[in-house]
Amino acid sequence: MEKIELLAPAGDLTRLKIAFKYGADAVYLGGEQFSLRANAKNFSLEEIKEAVDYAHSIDKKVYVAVNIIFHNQNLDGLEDYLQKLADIKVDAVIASDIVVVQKINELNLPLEIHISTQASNLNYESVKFWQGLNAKRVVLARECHKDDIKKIKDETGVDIECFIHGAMCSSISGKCVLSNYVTKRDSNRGGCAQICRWNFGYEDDKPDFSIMPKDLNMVNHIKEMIDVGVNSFKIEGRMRSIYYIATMVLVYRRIIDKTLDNTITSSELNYYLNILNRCANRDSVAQFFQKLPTNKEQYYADRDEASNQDFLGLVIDYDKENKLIKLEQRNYFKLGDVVEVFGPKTETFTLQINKIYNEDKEEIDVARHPKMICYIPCDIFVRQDDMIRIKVFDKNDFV
Amino acid sequence: MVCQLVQEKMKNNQVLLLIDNDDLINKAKKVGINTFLFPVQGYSVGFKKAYEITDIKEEAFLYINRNLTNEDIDNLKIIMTKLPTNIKGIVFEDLGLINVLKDTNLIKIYDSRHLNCSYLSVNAMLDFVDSVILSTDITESEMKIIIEKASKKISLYTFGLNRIMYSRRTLLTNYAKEYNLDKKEEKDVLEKVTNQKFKVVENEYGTVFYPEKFYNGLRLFNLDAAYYMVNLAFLPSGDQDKLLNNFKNSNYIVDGISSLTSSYFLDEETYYKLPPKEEK
Repeated sequence: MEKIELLAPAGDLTRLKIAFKYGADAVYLGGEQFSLRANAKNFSLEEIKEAVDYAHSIDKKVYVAVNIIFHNQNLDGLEDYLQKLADIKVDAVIASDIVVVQKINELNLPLEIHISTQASNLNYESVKFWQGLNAKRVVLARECHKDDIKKIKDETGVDIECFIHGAMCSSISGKCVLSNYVTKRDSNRGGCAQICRWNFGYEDDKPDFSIMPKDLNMVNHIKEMIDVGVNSFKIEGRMRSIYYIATMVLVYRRIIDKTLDNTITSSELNYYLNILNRCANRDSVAQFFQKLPTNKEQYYADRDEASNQDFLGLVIDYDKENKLIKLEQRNYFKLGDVVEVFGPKTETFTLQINKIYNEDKEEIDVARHPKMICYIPCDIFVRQDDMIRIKVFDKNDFV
Repeated sequence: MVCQLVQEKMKNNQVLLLIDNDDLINKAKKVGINTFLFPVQGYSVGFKKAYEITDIKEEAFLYINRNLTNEDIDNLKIIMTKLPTNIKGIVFEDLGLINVLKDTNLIKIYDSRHLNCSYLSVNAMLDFVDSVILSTDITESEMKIIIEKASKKISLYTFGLNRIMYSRRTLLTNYAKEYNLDKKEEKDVLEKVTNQKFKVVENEYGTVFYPEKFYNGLRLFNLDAAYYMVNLAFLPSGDQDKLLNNFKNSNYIVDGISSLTSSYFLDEETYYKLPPKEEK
């Protein structure tokens, strides 16, 4: 069997390290130039180098998105940028514009070419087109049915990357310029204003017209995805928090590993599904993998997207002698709260907070200040970068 | 001046008029347009009517503007071997068709839609096709640079509604189902923040959004191109007549319908990176 890769988003170096620590095999990120998150804080070349050096030191990979659609005036600096990415030894470039592919070939750069989902590949002949231009991998359009994925794999043998979790466009990716018309921000150069999340009037006496899809969630289909030939399982969300990244990566890592060694159970999948649903605070479904989505795969009126405050803190250290967790607070918690501790090497366990100490080791009743350092007693050994969340359900309810 | 140019292009069969109703063919012939672009039944989105290839009797180009599945590709491989001789070319959007068409004598025009916006991208595509229809997301100045640097003659979209969103979802059907309403295949909706209207058109292959106004790039007839696409779909019949008569006569080309049109981004570039707040 080909190697299965779990691919996570990295919005910055902190999230990159969390993604790797929680089990990602590779991350994708955007540089300050030519990336589809044009107005986000992206990686400088120095930061990309640091990311790549770090990733390679732990045998992991970094892919850089160079995925805008170039206008004439954006071409300046492209060659130089690609050359620098090659010098930095990034593992692959994710491209949607043929000019990027052509430049990598023309300059004979040692950069693996991955074709972005923005290029809307749904069939084996379009994949062959890109293979003819030395593309090693294609990120298929999110509209692909499982039978399409299988046939593409069978006909081309290409490395197939598919999204498994996160936000969806209503449009086929790359085929939408609603932003251009509503806000003058160019969708295909990173300016998407997510117009598909806005409401549209239909008729005076009718509910608003909505085109907003629910998120993608492939928890229940990982085995099928492996069986049809998907090589890389991609989580969406370069702008997401460390808590979201850690939770998503850890859950999918465990599902993939247990699927590969045939130990996954449906009750476990149900448990993982609940964890992801709680973390993401949006409904998520399998979308196009099994069938054409209906109204059930979209949001209409009265959707509930309230964010939760489940993420209570990040473990900074553990004092073995005094059995104290040193914690950086992320959300309010108080004495008596029942929480869960989880981490890449820490089996999730329940903890009741019986004492809280501030940074000066004075007892306090609540941890109310964002990023305050505090200590809580815990008999079980925990590790740096483990996380603590409010407990809302128990694994035993599922397994 | 522009009209003379249009007439010259019509005479040279360089004007590709998209046909979405049978009446339009006769009306167009009367003003001297003889090359037609037919959306193909089962392989196009965004039109009220598409045509079976066997029903097309005119000298024609086929328009295949949707994303294709493996099954579509396999079917089109068979269809392409049986094309009647009146089919001269094909305008398509899915890159998978490049391999399918490579051994045919058809004129191959890639409709880049929103993708090929630079001269290097266009030239890269021109290695595989006879022409590329430039994106309507770029300015006229950008188009001129591309034309100057292109390795072959490009083609231009000169009039019509711009398809600005294409979803594989059946969004009108889904909405009707959610609220137990009668299903519509075409509907105008209003974006509530900016009060912009959009036309939503659905068929079984997906849903398309168009902006309210027709793209008026008729001045692009001044530029040197292989083909000039004109799309009168959804333009009221009387206004179609006005525009076609303007093609024939010497009046200004959008006389009488200018309020329905916009040049959109021909003169105004979209934002790549947002300027700092004080400069907005």
